[in-house]
Amino acid sequence: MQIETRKEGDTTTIIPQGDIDYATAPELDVVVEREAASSEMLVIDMSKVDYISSAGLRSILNADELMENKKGIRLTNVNPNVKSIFDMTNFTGMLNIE
Amino acid sequence: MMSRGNADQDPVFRESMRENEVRSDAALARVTLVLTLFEIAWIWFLSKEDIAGFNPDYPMLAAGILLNLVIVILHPLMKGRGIRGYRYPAIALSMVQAFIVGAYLSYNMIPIAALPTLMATLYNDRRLIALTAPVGIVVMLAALWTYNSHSSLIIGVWWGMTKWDIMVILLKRFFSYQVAVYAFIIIVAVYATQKGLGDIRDSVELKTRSAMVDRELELASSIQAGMLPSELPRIPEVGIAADMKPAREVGGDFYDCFTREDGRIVVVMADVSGKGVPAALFMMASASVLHSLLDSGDSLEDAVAKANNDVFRSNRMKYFVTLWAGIIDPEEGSLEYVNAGHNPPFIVSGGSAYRLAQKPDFIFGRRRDIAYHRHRTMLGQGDRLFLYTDGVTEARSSDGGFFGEDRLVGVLERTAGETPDRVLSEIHGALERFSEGTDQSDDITMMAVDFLGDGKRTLRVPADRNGYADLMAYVDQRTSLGGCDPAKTSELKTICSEVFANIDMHGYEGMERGTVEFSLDLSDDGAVLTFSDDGVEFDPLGWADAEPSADPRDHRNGGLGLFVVRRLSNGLSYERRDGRNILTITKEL
Repeated sequence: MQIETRKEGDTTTIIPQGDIDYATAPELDVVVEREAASSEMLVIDMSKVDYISSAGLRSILNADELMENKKGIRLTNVNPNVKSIFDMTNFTGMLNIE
Repeated sequence: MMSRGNADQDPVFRESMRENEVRSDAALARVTLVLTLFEIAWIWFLSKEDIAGFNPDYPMLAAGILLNLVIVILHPLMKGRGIRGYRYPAIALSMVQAFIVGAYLSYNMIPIAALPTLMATLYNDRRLIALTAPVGIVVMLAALWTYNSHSSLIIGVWWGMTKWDIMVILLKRFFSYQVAVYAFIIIVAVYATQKGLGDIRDSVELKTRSAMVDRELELASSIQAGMLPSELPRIPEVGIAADMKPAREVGGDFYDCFTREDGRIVVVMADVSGKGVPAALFMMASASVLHSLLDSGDSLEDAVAKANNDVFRSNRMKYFVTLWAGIIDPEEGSLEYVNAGHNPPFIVSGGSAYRLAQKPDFIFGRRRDIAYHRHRTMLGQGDRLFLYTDGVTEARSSDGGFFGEDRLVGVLERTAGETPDRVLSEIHGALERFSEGTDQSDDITMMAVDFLGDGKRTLRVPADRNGYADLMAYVDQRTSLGGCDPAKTSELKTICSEVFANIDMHGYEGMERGTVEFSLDLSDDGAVLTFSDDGVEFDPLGWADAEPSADPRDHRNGGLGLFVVRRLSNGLSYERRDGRNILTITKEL
């Protein structure tokens, strides 16, 4: 999986490309952990993510926890397929989703 | 190399001389016509000026001009009737004409007798030169003699000289340097003939050599054609058509298709970098190594990897091959394949075409020890696998555009109901229309394989990440071909992803990894998915929460995936049979 990152001040935008599933989620975890250490805020741009499985949801939970004592995480450009999974699993209320 | 004596008997030499003769005949006729017009203009001009002592014999000059016109007219006459040897009457008549000009116009014109010899050089005919050169001297002397009988003689005789005395004076005072000029012209004519002959011999040698190269290319082309399968496998479960249209005599593309001992069918489509003989030689080596290794008991990816190392070892010119190799099991309709940098083939099913676009591995033959990955998919009854090289999509139109994948897909979808042979000829037709007025720039190779068996459509993949990728690609392929709604497709993929992840991560703990059997039936009512694995017994129905916890963090340690599966599907059933977990999921679409 290709994961792009962009830094602006203390905010880092992570742009994963493709599907986030159990095969690719560990790659996302690595990037999230690396960027969380040096950022106050994580933005995960979901515009290039077609669908997300529970493994991907866990990665996002993981990111949320890592940023708990900072400015937190934000999910942007979530497509309807991914949004419906977020809705179904009560992620929508929990997370900062745009 | 041939000796010169033989070379003159050589049919190619004679043919060249004959071609030269035809051109020279036409040149001779044209030159004579120009000379005639020049002569007419010149005589007309002189006759208008009042030049002392200029008193030509007009009737004789008119006769000379007529002779010239005869030479000009003789050419189309003889050519039209297929009569050869135009040079003989033409040069003979030009001799007579030279005499008339020298004898009745001016004795300063006597070297005109060199003209016939110059004309003879056109033919590179040494015998003709040897004949015309001395005859020219005779003509000059005769003209001198005749001329003096007209004017100078009258004065000389008046002074009491004999005709001989007058001739001797004329010979000394005028004729000597005219003969010298004449001699120089003849020497140049002889050199020109020698050189012309040499040029023709060189061109004959070139032609002979190029004919030899042509013959060898023809042989190479037929040997290369022999590398392609002369007969395609004929079994009821598959219908195959394949062909290659090289851009030159020999090409760099190849395909292969044969039945292995185990009854499975191997299909190969490949394109060697470069063109012409070097690419063809590399193609021969690659094709033969691949054929024997793919026919062995090795797995597909091992066979390709071994062949890659073999070909790499002898690859001095750093060529490479883009290669797609697959094995079809006609019993179950499964298709395993390896893609070494080749354009992905299409699967045509139910009137739509789908690109089998798993991420390709590295090109073939260029690096040692490449790990090639085997992918798996299933062919349903009536599905068509279409393989091709980029000569199809990169065919150019006269305005420079490419044929492109969209046009190819258009033809593939339009011809979905036709036979494989018909599909190939339709594509060739479309390519010809598209590329009309341009030369074919690359080899065009295609193969269409129809699966006609009633395969079980059960995809068997290893219970690991590779198997996962194949399974997801297969779901993509099936849903895309089945025209599924994108949102529903996404849900189906999520279901498959969750179930497979579960099997991979928890099913084989502490034991050897087995295979997952997967089937996907799509109908108007919906989808039925079946997962069967030989891992530890696990009933997911007992696990999945009916409702998600208000805080998703509670699902951290599992259950979330199965919850998602349950929510996205309309029915789940589980059974443990013959040591396998069999999970059947239904979903309305």
